[in-house]
Amino acid sequence: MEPETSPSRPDELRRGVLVFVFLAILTAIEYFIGTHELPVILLWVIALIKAGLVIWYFMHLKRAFREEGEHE
Amino acid sequence: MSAEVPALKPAHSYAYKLRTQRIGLWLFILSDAFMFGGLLVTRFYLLGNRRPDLDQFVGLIVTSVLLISSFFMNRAEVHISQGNQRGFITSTLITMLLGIGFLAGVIGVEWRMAHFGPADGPQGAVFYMMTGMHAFHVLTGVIFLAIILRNGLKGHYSAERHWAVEAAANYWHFVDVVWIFFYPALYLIGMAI
Amino acid sequence: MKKILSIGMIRGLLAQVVGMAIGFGLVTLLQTLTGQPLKAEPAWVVGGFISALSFLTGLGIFNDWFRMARGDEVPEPEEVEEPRGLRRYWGVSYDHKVIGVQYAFLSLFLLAMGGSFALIFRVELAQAGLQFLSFNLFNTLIGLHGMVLIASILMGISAISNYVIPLIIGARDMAFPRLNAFSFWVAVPGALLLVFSLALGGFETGWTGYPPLSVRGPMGVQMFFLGVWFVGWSSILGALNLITTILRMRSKGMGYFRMPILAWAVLSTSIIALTATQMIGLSFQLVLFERLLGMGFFDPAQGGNPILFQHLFWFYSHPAVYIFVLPGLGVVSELLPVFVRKPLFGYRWVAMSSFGIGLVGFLVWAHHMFAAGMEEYLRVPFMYSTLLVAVPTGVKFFSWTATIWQGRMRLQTPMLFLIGAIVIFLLGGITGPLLGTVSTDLHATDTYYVVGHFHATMFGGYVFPFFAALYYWYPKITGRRMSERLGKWHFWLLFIGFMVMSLGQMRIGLLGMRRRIADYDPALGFQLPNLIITLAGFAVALSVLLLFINMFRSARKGEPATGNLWESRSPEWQIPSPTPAHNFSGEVVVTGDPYDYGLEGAPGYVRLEADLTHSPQPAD
Repeated sequence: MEPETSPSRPDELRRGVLVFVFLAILTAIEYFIGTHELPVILLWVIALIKAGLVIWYFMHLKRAFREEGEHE
Repeated sequence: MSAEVPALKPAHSYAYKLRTQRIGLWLFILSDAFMFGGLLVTRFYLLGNRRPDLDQFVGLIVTSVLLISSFFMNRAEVHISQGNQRGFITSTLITMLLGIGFLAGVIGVEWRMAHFGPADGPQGAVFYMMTGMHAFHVLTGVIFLAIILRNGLKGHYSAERHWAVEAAANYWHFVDVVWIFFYPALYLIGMAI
Repeated sequence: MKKILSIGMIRGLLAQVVGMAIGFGLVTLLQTLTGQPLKAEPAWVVGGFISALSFLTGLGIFNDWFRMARGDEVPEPEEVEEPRGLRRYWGVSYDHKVIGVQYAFLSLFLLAMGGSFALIFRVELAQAGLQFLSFNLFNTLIGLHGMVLIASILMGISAISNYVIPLIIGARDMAFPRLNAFSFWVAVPGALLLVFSLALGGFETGWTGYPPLSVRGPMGVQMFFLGVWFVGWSSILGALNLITTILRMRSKGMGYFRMPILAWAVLSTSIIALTATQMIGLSFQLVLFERLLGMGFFDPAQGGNPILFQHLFWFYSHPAVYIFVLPGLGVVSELLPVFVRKPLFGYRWVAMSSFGIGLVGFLVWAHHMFAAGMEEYLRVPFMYSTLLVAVPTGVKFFSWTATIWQGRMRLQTPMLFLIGAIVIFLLGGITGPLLGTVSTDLHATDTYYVVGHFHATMFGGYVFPFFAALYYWYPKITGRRMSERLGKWHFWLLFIGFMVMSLGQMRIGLLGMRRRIADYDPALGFQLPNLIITLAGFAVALSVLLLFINMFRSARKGEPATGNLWESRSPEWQIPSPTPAHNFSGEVVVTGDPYDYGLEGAPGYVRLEADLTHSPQPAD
């Protein structure tokens, strides 16, 4: 089940955790901003950052641009 | 006709086709994003600096549920790309359950708790249409997850070939991205009416 | 019975009727069980929605996808066995050539239908007073004339792109053959629903479906919305497929700036169709739900705003006209060099101008709303962006004139239609600034001037190029060419008829004839012009009839044309006609530029390599 040819395994799982932690923190900040009448523009900026994180790390946007589409 | 046409050599390799399919899926996502963009325009055009009066706590809960589901979705994909069938099944199952939990949260709790119906002014129209369209996408995502879960249990996916998993995962993340914008637009921006 | 049911189309139609009954019954049952008052409208809407899905299920378009979902192996689309002969055109086929012909068939069918609607209300308008139509039926007919023909145009450009694009980029098929078949077939129940609106009381809004009228009127408008929704999906998914095909399936050596110009045009058109089409779907969907559930999107009494609808609607419906004309203009640029035996002037500029039109096209939608009570500060920016469209369009015109300049022109039927397209599109173009400029538009808006201008752009940008493409690629499809004599009759009748019609409309429009009215005051003196316009409309219809006769007769009796009939450099003419299965037997390698006609010593555009894997003894 666990071939030796996957040295990236812990890295990728750890990266997923890291991205998720970032997203969670940002969501908490969002909630705080939203309930404390702070500038709305911050909410947009955070939403864009969150979307960027998901699109880049979870959806692997760059795979659509890589020439031979192998998995990682 | 078929007699004179011998068996064809595939025009492209699997890897080449894979990227073609990825481009196709991204184009679909782009197209769908325009529809959700239109809903956001509708929300700001009609409500502007006001927002529907909703329960903040439930909103935060469902948002967290969807975010966590995205985390497990990513985990499922990483597992299958490394050949870990067990991890893939577990993570997919968790993702699916969280998705169903999100649907229950929005439709079962939020829709019931809201003190306005779809016919009550612009906030009703906007709120039910936005959450409704999003919930419809979550529902289709759950169906895709059920399909890959079933086929995954039968062992159809391998570390090398799991386009269906990748597609379902990308779709699921896209639905999450939509909610990343819908959550502030519905719950946080503006003053509650 | 079994034999009849083996035809996919018939299975689909039966399933659609059954689906409608099921949906209708289900909602009625639910209403009865919950003790609500029985309302027909939700029942029809749900019925209509389910009926379209049942059509597709009955047809069998989902079969392979269901199999995939179950985890079964499905064959490569190329290897699927399909029935021979004409039968395969009436069911699911994954061959892009079959799908292209299916699209063309549906397009011409809808063209005849939408055109006939126009003839009916033109007869009504030939004299003042109300003769044989009711106001409601008149409005329904103008609305259906618009939307049925929009569907016809969308199918027509899909026909050209589906048949021709894989051939001219040297591919065996589209990128996603199953999706391709789906995109065609989803339009069929859509078109049926559109026409079904006639049976449910029609609708009063015209093709734009503006609220508040569409919220209040008869419920035929719901079928209209549903029909557009399904046809929209056809357009979106077809565009997705075409973009991917052009990006990924080009033959070896075909860099982006060695692509045929038609591929550029289709690429930019598809980008618009992929994204903007969602907005018309959304805007109609919002009205649909406003009618069903009382959601107050566009009702000011409930805090809604009807202007919002117009923003959403025109965000698609203005770029839509570029969806219609860009492939047509691409056809003009593609075929002109063949018939004047000269290279296309300014290839890169023409390629980029399609993109320019596409991009600017996204920024001009509000010029339809100058008189609609829109936010006033939007007027001037939208006026400037609108006039900006003239720049990339002008690039195309300069390219065409410079290409024709000193060419050795061959006046065959396709060339006649190309000239007609250029002249009429110019007419449509130069009548545009008057409407794009706020100060003049406030006077000309909602008059027949708009009607004349719009029809000139559609005929110049789509209809004439589409007919040119039909005459040009017909031999590729059938192996026989269409009659030149009938073709020339078709052209002159259409050209003159259309000119009279369009100029007449512009004239009475400037004199004050309102659009979308079934009756007008005889004292205005528009009786004679209206009669002439009606007669010219019949001339146009007659010319299209000639085309149909020509197509049917030439399919059997036409002069055989299996070789490179037009002496084109394009890859599709280097293989025999009708196009063999899987198009090219070997690999296509691009060795030169696409339009180097009449140049001494220019290398050929493509080289066809014999494929060794196909020979009886594999060479190893």
